[in-house]
Amino acid sequence: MVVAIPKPGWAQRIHDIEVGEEIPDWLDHYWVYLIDTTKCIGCGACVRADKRENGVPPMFFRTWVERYQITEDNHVHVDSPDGGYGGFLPEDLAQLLTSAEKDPAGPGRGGGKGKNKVTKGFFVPKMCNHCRNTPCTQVCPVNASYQSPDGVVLVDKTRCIGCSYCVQACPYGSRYIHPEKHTADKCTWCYHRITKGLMPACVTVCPTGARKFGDLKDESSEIKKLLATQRLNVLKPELNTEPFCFYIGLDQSVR
Amino acid sequence: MRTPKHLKRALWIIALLFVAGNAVRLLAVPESFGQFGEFRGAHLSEERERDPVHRGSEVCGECHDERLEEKNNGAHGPIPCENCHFQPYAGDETHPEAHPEISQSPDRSQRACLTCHQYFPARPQAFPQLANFPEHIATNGPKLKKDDVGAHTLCVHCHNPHDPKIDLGQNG
Repeated sequence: MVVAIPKPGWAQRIHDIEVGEEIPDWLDHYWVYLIDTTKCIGCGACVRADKRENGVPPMFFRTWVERYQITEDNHVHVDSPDGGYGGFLPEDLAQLLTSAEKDPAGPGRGGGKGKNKVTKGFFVPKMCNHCRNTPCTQVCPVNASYQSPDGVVLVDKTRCIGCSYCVQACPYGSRYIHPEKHTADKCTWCYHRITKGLMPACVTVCPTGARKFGDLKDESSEIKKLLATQRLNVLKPELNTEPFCFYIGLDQSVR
Repeated sequence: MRTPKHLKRALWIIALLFVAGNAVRLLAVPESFGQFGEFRGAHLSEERERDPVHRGSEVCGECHDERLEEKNNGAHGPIPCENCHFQPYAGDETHPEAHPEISQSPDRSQRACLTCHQYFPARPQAFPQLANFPEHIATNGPKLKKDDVGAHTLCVHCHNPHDPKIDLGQNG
């Protein structure tokens, strides 16, 4: 047993740290998000981080990960167990570890034959697209939902009456009614973090750098370079919502 | 000239509606509404008031600097401490006196490792993945020249999570 003067607690200490000494003015920024689907490994770290950071209730999601698997018979299989919160592990680990006996190629690797063989697969993280032409804010009867001058779609919970018009209006399914607060809730691009000079929680935890975030008004930012050089797409471009969440390597089967 | 009675009455009604309408507007519309656009302007600063939960590896490094350095130099360098040391599932309550908000001891089961490293056809092929655990043990275990490799059932028995890559060229 070592007796020592206790160090200040973690929670106590973090309040002393000034994150980004001066809070940047939001008029100096314009935020943009970029997801590289070719890098996503579907670990679900972003989903877990988002839930911790923002206290998202169980079975509701501000961001989630979908797995697309296209089999030889051209069927698209999409799944997202618990939004990818626990990753995409098979339920029965024991079965996974012994499955070598049943399937010499290993689980999933040419697993099954013919029709069930996966020819193409990828993970697609999804979230609020923070559209420029937002269907969700247009329908809000009390102006609780709006787009901030730095390009983030937010919900003012003190004004929201929980009519859920916006939940229906969003073509990406990014909004939900909070089961306890009874107000609309959605991804804020971690507005409390980005205005302090930090990255959104999902971006900081991504192990492969599949999620990128940055400031369009910052000429030297990495995201500006990526947006200028990469082949981009957005979800449901035919709806003219002008999303500001861009994708690299998005397959046409993604909806 | 005398104002007609019906006009007077109409003017009174208009004035009354004007006053009543403005009174309702004053009471119902929040103070900062319309400051920056068609929303309550004060909400912008309210939204950014909250403290971040994820503080990054640097905060952990204030005490655990050796561990942090080991991690940063290893293959898991880009991954923040919180990815493994924050528990996705409940049931972990060690290290309570220093930072009660986080559970320090991470999940040491295979599940934790396989969340990223289980083979899936949907995963990028360049990413290190494990399709068959017994096979992995059978082929790589003997190279480590440990006696009891066959009995090992957890990834962390051989791999150090902070620096997972095993250099078989030198050790094997």
